[in-house]
Amino acid sequence: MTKLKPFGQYQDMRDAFFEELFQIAKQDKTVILLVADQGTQTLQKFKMQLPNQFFNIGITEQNMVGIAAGLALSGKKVFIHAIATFATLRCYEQIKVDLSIMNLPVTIAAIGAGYAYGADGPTHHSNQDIAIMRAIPGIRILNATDCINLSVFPHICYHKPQLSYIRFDKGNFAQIYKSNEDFTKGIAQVRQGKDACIVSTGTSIHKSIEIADVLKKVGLDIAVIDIYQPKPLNEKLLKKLLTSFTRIVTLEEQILYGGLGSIISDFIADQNLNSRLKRFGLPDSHNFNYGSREFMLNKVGLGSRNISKQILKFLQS
Amino acid sequence: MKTNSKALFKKISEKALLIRQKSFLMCITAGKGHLGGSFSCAEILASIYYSKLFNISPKLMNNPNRDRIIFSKGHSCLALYSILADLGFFPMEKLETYGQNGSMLGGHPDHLIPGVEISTGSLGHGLSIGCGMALNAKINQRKYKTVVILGDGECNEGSIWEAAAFAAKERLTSLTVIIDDNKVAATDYTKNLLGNTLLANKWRAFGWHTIEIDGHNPQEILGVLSLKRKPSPLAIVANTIKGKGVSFMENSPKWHHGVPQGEEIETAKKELGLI
Repeated sequence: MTKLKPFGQYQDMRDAFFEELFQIAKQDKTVILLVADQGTQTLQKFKMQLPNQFFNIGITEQNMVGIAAGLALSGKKVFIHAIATFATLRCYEQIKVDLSIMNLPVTIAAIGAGYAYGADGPTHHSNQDIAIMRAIPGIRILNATDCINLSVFPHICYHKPQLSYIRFDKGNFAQIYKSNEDFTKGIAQVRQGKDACIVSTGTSIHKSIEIADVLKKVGLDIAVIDIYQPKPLNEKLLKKLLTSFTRIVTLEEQILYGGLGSIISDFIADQNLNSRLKRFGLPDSHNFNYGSREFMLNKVGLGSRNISKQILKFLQS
Repeated sequence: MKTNSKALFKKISEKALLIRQKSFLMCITAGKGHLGGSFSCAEILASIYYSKLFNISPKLMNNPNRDRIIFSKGHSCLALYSILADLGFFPMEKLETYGQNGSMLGGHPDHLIPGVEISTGSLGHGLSIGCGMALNAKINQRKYKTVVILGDGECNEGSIWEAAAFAAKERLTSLTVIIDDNKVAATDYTKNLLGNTLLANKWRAFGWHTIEIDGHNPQEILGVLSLKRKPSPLAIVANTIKGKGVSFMENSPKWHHGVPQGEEIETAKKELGLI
């Protein structure tokens, strides 16, 4: 089996994805990257060094998906990139019709998961993308936790072609994984614990660990499970990991309808697990507060202290 | 047969009649289908598929050098199905299954049907996909051509103009768009939906080499398809008549997806030469 290993180590999520993709593209001329008016240093490298493999097609997300389909039908391995909410909602029907119906292995790589663009207002929040994208038949969803797993995601999509949606944040996050982790598993228990577990995804893992730390101070031993591939779900591994817990908490930066909490809720019901579930996520509204991510999350009751308090109540109930 | 020969023009007109006949019979047998748009594009499709101007045949289905015909106005698929069966992409008997449970021929064409390049039915998708195919030809210096057939109502979709701008900017010279400008959408005349801005002017403004023709005249269609290409994509605005070939169906929104009944069937059959 091809080893899915990154070429380098990174301090920024964008670099982690695009540097790795650049290295892949340098070795394979059939790899094409389309972007909708996005720019980073690595994209400049694409433009200068691989001009036949990089196209900035302007602010036309619907068109970008269609072009990707046409290229994929012609044998190209296509990656497309835009801000998450635009790369999903704006061209949702193109993703369904042009990519999913024709089963084309295009990778949608989106920046700005959750409140990554918090201060830019609700137009830029990507709060329902997991919910809507998981409703696309045959899609694989990969959600970056740190630069390590993100740097492997382009390799997964290149070596195991399938319609895919990769979502990532911007900037740097504490390193959770080692570079030799097998990211084809889709799920990892990133913290051991026995009293309850927090199931989360992507960069919300960092908050989950923070909460587990807060609860440790009151004597609770909380596990944290990262579902970095929410679809398809590794049901076997998830069942194994969840079976020992009677109390399960989910945490996500998504509106609760259809997101990770729903995935776990469905799973508990479908698998007939004997556990109680408490879901934390964004309310059914738009957030018009402008500030840091922590500020935004506090405004909607998702600050670490508040969640810790509620988890404590849940575990005592 | 030369593309400017009278014999070819005659053949195309005969094939266009065959398309109308087959489409009509499928529609009345199934009790459903989009006849108006199938009739308006009959000569356009016949010119593409029977002129030998394009490298298309059942033997070339998976050949990377085949020309790509993207039928973006998928609702008019009765016309397309008739041609593909006639050319042997699938057996003629399959046409009789249209509208029946388990038929491979749906109300809109999917990519699983032999000879159908992409699944269409939702409007405004075909041109971007065609752009991707033409971009691939440009990147790899392939000689294949891509032709996208759009409806004039379909040109209401914003995505068409995203793609039109892209194709002009990238100078996709292997790309041709033919607009079946029958001037009628599903519920009304297109001029009453988004105004009557001349389509040709819009394509020209987007940087396309644009030519208007009579979309029912094989000589004009083949003439424009045989032109030496300019360094830009080509838009052919084909003036057509919705429901062309059956007098009571012509130029009326009623026959976007109306199905003839009773005496209408007899009249239409007579006019189409079926009886």
